[in-house]
Amino acid sequence: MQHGTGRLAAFAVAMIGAAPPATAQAPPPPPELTPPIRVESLAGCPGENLAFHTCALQKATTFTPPRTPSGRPDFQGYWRSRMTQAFSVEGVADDDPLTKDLIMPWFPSPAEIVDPADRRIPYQPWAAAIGRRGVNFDEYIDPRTTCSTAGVPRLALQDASQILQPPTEDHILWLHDDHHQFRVIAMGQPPPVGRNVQTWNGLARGRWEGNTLVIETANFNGYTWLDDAGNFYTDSARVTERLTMIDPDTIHYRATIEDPTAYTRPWTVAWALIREKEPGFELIEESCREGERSLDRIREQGTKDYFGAPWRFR
Amino acid sequence: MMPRRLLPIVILLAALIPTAPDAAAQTPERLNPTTDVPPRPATIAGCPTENLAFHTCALQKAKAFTPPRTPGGRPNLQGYWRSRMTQAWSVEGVPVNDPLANDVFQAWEPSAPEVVDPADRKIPYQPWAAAIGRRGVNFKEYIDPRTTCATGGVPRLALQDASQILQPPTDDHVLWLHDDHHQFRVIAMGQRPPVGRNVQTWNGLSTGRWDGNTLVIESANFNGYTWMDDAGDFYTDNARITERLTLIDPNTIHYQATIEDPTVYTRPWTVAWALIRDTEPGFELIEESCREGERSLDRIREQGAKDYFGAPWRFR
Repeated sequence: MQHGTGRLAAFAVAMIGAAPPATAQAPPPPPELTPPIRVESLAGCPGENLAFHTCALQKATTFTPPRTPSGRPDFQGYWRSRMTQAFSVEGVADDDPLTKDLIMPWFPSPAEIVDPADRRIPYQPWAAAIGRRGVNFDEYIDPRTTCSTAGVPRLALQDASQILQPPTEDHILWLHDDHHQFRVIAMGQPPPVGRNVQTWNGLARGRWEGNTLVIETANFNGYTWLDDAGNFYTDSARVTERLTMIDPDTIHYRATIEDPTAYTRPWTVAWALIREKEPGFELIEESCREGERSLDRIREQGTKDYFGAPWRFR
Repeated sequence: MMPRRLLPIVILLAALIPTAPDAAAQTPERLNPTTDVPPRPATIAGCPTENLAFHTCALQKAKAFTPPRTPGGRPNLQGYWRSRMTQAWSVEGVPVNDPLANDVFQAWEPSAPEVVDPADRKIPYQPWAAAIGRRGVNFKEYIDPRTTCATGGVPRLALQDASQILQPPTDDHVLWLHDDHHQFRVIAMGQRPPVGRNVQTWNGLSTGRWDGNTLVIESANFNGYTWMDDAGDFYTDNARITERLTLIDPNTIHYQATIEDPTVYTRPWTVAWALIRDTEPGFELIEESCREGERSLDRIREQGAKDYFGAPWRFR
């Protein structure tokens, strides 16, 4: 049964997330499969994704963010996502069979999708059979399990990250604990880049829209997944992220994903990024390749490396 | 034992990997690894470009140069940098009459050693370790970890392609971002809680301090899974590396790295080269390709070359 390997891959991802803390003196504890931290409220908004999103849009109209010396909204610092889980952007129902899985139970959680109203990815029929625990989940290894980048927007969902706004103002940097990735967001109007340039995290161009940092990203290679369920986009995807502070320690994060190849319309996920205030906190190199013991067995059981094959060669 | 003819494939692969797509380029270029060598100017910041001569000259220049400052008053190393006077083949250099310099498949470029101390410009290996590094067991039987898309490690990251140094105004850390395999290093400035030996990382844990105008970076907690060059030169998880970065003119950093590892070497030793400011307008670090399109690694493994993970020293 191929389905089991999908769960195994999910388990490997959960193990990978347990990087050793920098200050630990004792041997690292065994990985604990703790549920993502759920919150009742964030910055005075409800903790459910759609309710938070609706509330945050209002909060943003009245909050005046701190500024950099040059007068831009100041997003600099360490951030952690909340209200998110890695299992499925479409959420996990309380009665989902995978929540009872003995090896790797999924945690019941609301959908991260806030648009469309049914909180589902508006797949074209052929693509729905590949994503949403379809062909990808059943037959392929989550690319993140093989130590590839989680991609966009999944990077903004896992573990801690750091935003930097160098004073030259020509770019913003977003560094991630997750697989030790970083994104360069070029501000302004750099020269256009041809479709033949394809990258894992895409090429990102940023601009300011009032107090919101808008990041438009294209030139993806389509080799990443959006979640453990195998939800995906292709190399024709364009992702527009919007980051808006709604109080000094909370960013309203949104990502709208367009891909005419795979979807019938654009769709949007939203969650909160909360400032990490632990004294002396720093990003630490995440372990992935070393000590990885199950990938060979997963491959032996017939699960394949992804590299976009289900949509690329259909 | 891996067939000898296989080795150039590994080397070619490593040479191809740095050829990331240029954001602004519409046509492929720089695809020939044998001609894609960094240009070596006649002089750098008024110093000779042979590594030891440069190192000696730069130590003098550093005394006379007053570097630009950050708003916080620190020497300002921020910007984009590219190494010069370096090559990836061997930190011990490649003589003109080296057989590999005439390899028809993948010729190594004759070049000066990057080692500036000791005086014989060789890594002061203990005998058992010399048989593993220096084109020994590692080179013959194992895959260069960088070829498998693992990090180049320290100090190899400072040697390949472009990098970016950032000094956030909080002054509590310095960041060093690398084109090479899209790695970044966090250098914690000042004192932080001690970290146990059981914490082992690819790029090490780095703490920085200012010694006059020099940024001193001390790194330990390595896992010993990286190589220093294509020749399989190595250190173990017992290594400690001290890097020193000093501006000797507005666009030149004198880079030194001293590598200590009592498990492997008889004494500490030092490499040195220059980092030159990249002033191309609109330059940005771009994601390097590695895993995608990689076609020969499976064949290399089929022919017997093994993944490294420090096995030759760890299980000797």
